[in-house]
Amino acid sequence: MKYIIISLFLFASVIVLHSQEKISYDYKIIYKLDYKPGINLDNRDNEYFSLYTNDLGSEFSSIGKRALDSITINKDSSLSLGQFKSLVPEYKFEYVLYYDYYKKTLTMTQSFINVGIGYKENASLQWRLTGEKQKIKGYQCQKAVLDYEGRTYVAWFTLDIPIQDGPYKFKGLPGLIIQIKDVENEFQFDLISLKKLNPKPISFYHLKDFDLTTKKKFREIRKNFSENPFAMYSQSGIKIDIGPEEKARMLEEQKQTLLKTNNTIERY
Amino acid sequence: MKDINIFKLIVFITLVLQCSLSIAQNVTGTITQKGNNTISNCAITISLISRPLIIEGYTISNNKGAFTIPITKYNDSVILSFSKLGFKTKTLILNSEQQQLSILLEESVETLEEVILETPPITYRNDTLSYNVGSFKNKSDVAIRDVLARLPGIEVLPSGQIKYEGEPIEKFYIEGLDLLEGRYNIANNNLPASSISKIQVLENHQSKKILDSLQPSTKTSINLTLKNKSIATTLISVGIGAYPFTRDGKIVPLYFTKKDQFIGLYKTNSNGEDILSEVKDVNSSEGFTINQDNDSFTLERLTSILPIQTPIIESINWLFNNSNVASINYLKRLNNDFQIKTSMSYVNDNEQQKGTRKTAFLLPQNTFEIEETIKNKYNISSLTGYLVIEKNISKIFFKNKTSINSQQKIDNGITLGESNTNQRAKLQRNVLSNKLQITLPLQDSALSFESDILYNEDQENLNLKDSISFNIDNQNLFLSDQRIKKQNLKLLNNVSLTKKVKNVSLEYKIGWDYIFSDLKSLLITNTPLNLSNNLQLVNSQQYITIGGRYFYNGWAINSYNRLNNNSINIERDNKNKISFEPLLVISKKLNKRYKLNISGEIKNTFTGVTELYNTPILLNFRTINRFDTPIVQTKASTTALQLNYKNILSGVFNNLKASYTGKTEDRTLSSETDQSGILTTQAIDRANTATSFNLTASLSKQIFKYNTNVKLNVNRSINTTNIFLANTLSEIKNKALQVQTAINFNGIDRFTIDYNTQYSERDTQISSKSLETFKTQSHTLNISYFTKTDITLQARAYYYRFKTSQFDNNNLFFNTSATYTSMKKVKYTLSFNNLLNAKEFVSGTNSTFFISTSTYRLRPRNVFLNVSFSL
Repeated sequence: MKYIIISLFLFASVIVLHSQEKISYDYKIIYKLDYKPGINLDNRDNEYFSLYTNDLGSEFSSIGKRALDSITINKDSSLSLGQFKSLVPEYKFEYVLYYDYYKKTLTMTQSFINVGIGYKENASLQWRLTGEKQKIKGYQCQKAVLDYEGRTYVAWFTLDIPIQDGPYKFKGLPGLIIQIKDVENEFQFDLISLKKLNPKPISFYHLKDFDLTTKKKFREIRKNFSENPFAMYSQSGIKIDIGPEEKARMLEEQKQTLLKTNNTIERY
Repeated sequence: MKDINIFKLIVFITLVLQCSLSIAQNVTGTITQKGNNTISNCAITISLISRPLIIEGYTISNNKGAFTIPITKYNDSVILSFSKLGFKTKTLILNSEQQQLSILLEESVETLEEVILETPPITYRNDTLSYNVGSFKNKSDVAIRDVLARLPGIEVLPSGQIKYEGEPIEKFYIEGLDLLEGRYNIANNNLPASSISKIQVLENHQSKKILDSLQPSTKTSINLTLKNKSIATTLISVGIGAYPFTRDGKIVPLYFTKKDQFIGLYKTNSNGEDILSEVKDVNSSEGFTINQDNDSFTLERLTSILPIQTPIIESINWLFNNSNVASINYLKRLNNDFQIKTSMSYVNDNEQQKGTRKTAFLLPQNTFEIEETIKNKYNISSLTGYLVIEKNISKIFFKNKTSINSQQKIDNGITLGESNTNQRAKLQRNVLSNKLQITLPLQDSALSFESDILYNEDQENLNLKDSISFNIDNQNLFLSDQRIKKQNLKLLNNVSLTKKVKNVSLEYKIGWDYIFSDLKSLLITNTPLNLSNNLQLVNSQQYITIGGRYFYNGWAINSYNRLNNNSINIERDNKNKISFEPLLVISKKLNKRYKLNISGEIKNTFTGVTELYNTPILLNFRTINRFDTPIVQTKASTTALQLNYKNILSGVFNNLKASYTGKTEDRTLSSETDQSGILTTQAIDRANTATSFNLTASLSKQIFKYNTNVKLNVNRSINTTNIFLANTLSEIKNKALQVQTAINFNGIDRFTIDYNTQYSERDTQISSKSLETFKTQSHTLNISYFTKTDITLQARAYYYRFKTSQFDNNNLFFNTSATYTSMKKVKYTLSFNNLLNAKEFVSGTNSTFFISTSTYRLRPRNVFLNVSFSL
């Protein structure tokens, strides 16, 4: 018994020698998404997203999610809970999207119960350039058209910002996308701000922490999880102690909520 | 003419060339920068000289800086433009013969101009988060389910205690404010789910801001955010039931603003629902947490009436109560960063228990049985209050909490058997405590000071209507009345320094604990000689602790090493001991799926005054104890290993946990039971070793196709110790096996089905001879059906089988309910309980000395209607 404990101490002294590694991004670009959440509903909603870029690639996620993660996961922030108190963002989009500029691949990721899963896909899109030009938000923009996963989009990009990136999976135009919307006017991203970041690195999820699977399986897991989060929690040893009647009611309400948010950007 | 011909020729050649250009080639090339390094991800755009601002086509250079761009369709001169962030854009007019280009880009120090077209709702400034709160207002409501979707690792125990990955949470915040301290059940049970917008789990949350950058915390806290930042509402619920007549009622006023938080609570009921736990501090049984690491300090009660085992089914089926609970909790934030919290709770409760109990006493020579009917009445009245003044900013942490508790418990019992025994046990307790914590910055470290003071006074009386004969030291004594007075004074003080060196947070602590306990007892006998104790114990402990916490890259290492100098004194003995108590916890995320946790710990404890009285004390009318021993030191070494596996892709979550504890103590218990069932415990000054081994495996699988979850949990434990039974040293071995399964089925629309089973086997062996094996199995089935008209129907069936070599009992229960929520958010619940009208519940327990089965009288078939709404 004693030996076990002593050896554990020795073990400990060996371990403490790791170095710090973090990601450093050069620019932070904010987009606002204005969208129609329910297929059969007329109401609209909006959400802000951040696109962090550097030479190697970019990371795209809801800024609410990013903020929460930076506090709860990274301990990056010097901010403790008392300071932000009620200022916790609402967000509806849980995913984080990574774009590799070199491999031209996209990795879609999402965490469920602290486990990250994701899928990789090719980022190449068949953009069609039109000659149309327009000044949007002070930028000389040119129009490009894209058919993507069941919707037709009109994007306005500018060479004034030579970052070949954009919101969501809309990548690969020669300049930054300032605005993109589908022709049915159900999803629209607009550039809100662009900021040069301090060279100070920030840590975030490491892609290696994600379990990669197929797009189909990813969607299946996401569907299961959103329809009945209890099952997945309870499975990972998490008990949520609410009465069965209350639980049944919650699940039913959840189904109703899902109906209100069934309009997905990718139609499948 | 010749000139014209030449001109024609030139035109022709040009046309041919242009033609050949348009038929032909893609232009290819490489982009480099100074030093011949290639540039990838450079945008190459084509425009025509006639409309240079329109991009006709583009490509992006690859990994090696190479590109290929088709220029087939253009009948005009072409402008190629090369742009990449961080480089000066280069433009060139493509000469017709050029098909292979070599482009050199010049670096540019210019950065993009910042643009702010609209203030986003959150912005970071040097890692500090700031908000535009307005942007979040009036968003469509988020259901609590969405919020739950982000809840990692939560477990709520029956007591209401919330655990995260097996460890109790540290703080329960509402809007970032810790209104309720440990008594968060009030919020947990009463804050309407619809008012909460988000539940946040704050992992590794350091609750003291001043230590935020110095000491990473292993603790987790929870924060509830409300949908409306200001709430002023009152929740009301009223219910009646029959037969016999029962009631319940609840008024919960809630008031939340940025500066004030208030939760009031009044609950009354007689329908068997347990409402007392609502105002209890989940971290401590008596509402006092004294130790800095939230180790609760339990105040013991020595005496009781003879209990009857309560059933393990929903309390509405068996609890005969009349309870009243009232509580007010108020928090105010003052302008100078101070917070004031105050709380006052009052409980008044009457409970009745009826049943029969059959006990087989295991004597060395023979076994004898007693069957008796038990009727017990319990009355509790308790008043608890506290006042907290707190300042928690990055420059200082200050907190002072003053608590009081005054309670009275009166238990009356009638045990009807061969002889009838009327018993009355009374406890009167007053507790006063104060806890002061101050942390200040000291250069790049933090200096903390903590001081705890606790004083309590207990008075316990045990009265038997007819005296009972006990054989004490070969003398038959008739005992009927006993009075005990206990007093404790605890003073715990320490100073600590917290420092961060690279990734390691160090803590040095020096402290002094002083405990004074006084125990006086008087047991009146039929002889002039009464049995009395008058015991004073002083335990003074000085200690030094050196601790370190390290977090990085999937590693979390926690090590605490404590050196104690103990000096313990009672009249007949004193002990001076230096002891070393190390603690080490290492956890490592091995990869995406596996996480390993190893821990080791050595702990020393010394007997308190309640285990040192050497004149007998009557615990209940059948148990009398005496500890005629010196001060006893117990040293426990625990090692534990835990392996977690998560694979969300296959929906599999597995955990394996093994732990082993070895305990050595310089005392061995000696017990004797006589023919009337009286148990006398003494302790003999002989070293004893006890071991405890525990293995738990949990497996679970999510079947995505049917939205169904299946779980299996197996637990095996083996505990051994030695005890003198009738002067013979015997090894006692307790073995237990528990197998649980759970199926949660959501595959059919509008239905939820939960089916749980549990099988357990308990076996006690004395010197390798098995006494009795207890086998129990239970099955619980819950079916909920949600109609389209806001009605929820629910049926719950419960089967319990209890089996020994002598008993084999089956219990079956059936409860149903229907809930309707009207458009005005009024909720009606109609329940039918114990539909099969089961009369009693049979269960059993065993110990080294007896095997007993209890038959507990249940609440008969009844109906209950409840209406709840908010103002």
